[in-house]
Amino acid sequence: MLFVCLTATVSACEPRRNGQSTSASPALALIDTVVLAENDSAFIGQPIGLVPVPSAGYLISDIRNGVIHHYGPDGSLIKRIGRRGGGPDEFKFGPGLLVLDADSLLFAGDGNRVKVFNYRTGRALWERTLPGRTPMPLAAMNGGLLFSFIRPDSRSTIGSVQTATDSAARGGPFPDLLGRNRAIAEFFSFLQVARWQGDSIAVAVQSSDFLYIGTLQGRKFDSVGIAVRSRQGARHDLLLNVTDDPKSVYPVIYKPSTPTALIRLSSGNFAYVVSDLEMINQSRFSARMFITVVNPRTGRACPDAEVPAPTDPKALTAFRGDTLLVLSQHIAGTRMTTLIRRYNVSTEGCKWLSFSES
Amino acid sequence: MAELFRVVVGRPTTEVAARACRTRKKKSHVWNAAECLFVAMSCFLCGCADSRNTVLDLRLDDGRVVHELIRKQGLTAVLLYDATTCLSCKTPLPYWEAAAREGRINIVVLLAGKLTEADRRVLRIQRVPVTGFLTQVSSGFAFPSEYLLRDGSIIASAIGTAAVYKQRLWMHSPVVPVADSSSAVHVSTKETTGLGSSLSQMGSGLRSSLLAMK
Repeated sequence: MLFVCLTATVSACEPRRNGQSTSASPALALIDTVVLAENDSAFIGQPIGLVPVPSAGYLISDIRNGVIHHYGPDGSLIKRIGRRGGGPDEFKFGPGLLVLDADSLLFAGDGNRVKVFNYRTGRALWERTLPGRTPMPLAAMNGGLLFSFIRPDSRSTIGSVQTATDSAARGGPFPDLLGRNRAIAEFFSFLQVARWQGDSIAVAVQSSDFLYIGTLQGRKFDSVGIAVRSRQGARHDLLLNVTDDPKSVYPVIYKPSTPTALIRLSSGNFAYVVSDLEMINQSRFSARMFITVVNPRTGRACPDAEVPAPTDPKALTAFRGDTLLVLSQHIAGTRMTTLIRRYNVSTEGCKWLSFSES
Repeated sequence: MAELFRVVVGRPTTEVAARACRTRKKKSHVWNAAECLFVAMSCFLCGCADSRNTVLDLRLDDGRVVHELIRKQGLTAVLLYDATTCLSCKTPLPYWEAAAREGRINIVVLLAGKLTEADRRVLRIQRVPVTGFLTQVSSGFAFPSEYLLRDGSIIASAIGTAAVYKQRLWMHSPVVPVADSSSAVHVSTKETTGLGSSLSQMGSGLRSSLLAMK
């Protein structure tokens, strides 16, 4: 009897890890495909960041070439911003992740620094070093930049700066798991943030399957479990084995789903994209991507529609309003192409699951 | 310490031994000297060659030899990268490409390590201008390594990630006046970078230029 029960329990867990059954997941309907103009002297080498321009078009950071490409809505190249180098409008390591605010400010990561441009003119405005071990630009809010800033000592997840010289504010809802030990906070540092309402925010972290809702000042007032169906999830089972010894992290580090995009949809739900990374060699990963829609009011989620994109090189995702943008690179014979596909995300037919049902 | 090697070994310091010395700065001088001496003697007895002398003799997978790819006139950069770091663009390749686009230098990009078909596909997508592959490469070479040549002779080199980014050979390659290559001498980099890369000095022009880059 015990054997039957254990078998049933294990079997019930299987779909979660093996990518089965995505039938009641969000539906992605292709709207159109934009082919980006490239040639052998002007091309997108290794895209890292993608943000849509409010009017139309796209900004794409390219770490291979050390520039930000500005493409029009039809895929024509409008201009390039920055270049490789150590000057004010140059990138030493990046450009990395991009954030665009409503006032034409373009924040671009460059190692542990952020460089700020006027995206319309391409002119560099200011730059500064961001605090923290691996600061990543995440979102713009109230005229400033929000970036990842996980600090267990001050129980913060999000930092914010507004100028080149102000002191960085810290806060954001802090998941208890991040405070469990130093290694988890240091190594599972990917997160995403989205505006909730007013000045409150929602934060998704790599080490947890929950969406944490709170304030920029650090108050946490809610959390929503995100049902796991096909993605790897946060692997709490493995994280429990992590200690302060960094070596304990290695077996776990590339197992959890990595938060890749988070946005509040017009319906009030959140759309959450994660990447399940697969290590190819010491510095390259492939990734399957999944999108989940979360209803924060009911605490239920429509989980894990696989984003239709190549896994290697891994695709990029971003949102323009409720529309999912997927940038991918392809090769056919001698022809290389970079595409942006636009998808409508629909929850019609969704099976809404609570976290305990996953 | 590189001076010590030259005295003891009687020939240019090997990259291996030099790097071994520089990574042990924090230890006592006595222990440091003994350790470096041991490494140098080991390399000498094992017949390790100075990689600067042999990089031009490396044979590519397709049978070509590196020196066949070097321009007899003008500047050439031989860039030895590990394929995995090149795939993630953790190399200064874009800087060299910019110089090459302006016609200031010829670049020879050699990738070491075993590549899968997927790796090669990504290299093509990234338009990495690979000259050749070095699947079989002796362990005496560090990656990344960059060698700057004028008229077929090595005039400077940067070995290892720190040295490559610190020395930034691509910056001075087009502007530094270079003297007769036959007078090249191997010098310690302690006073230039303090990081452990080695370089050949081709006269005071290049040397001052490197010092000015600090």
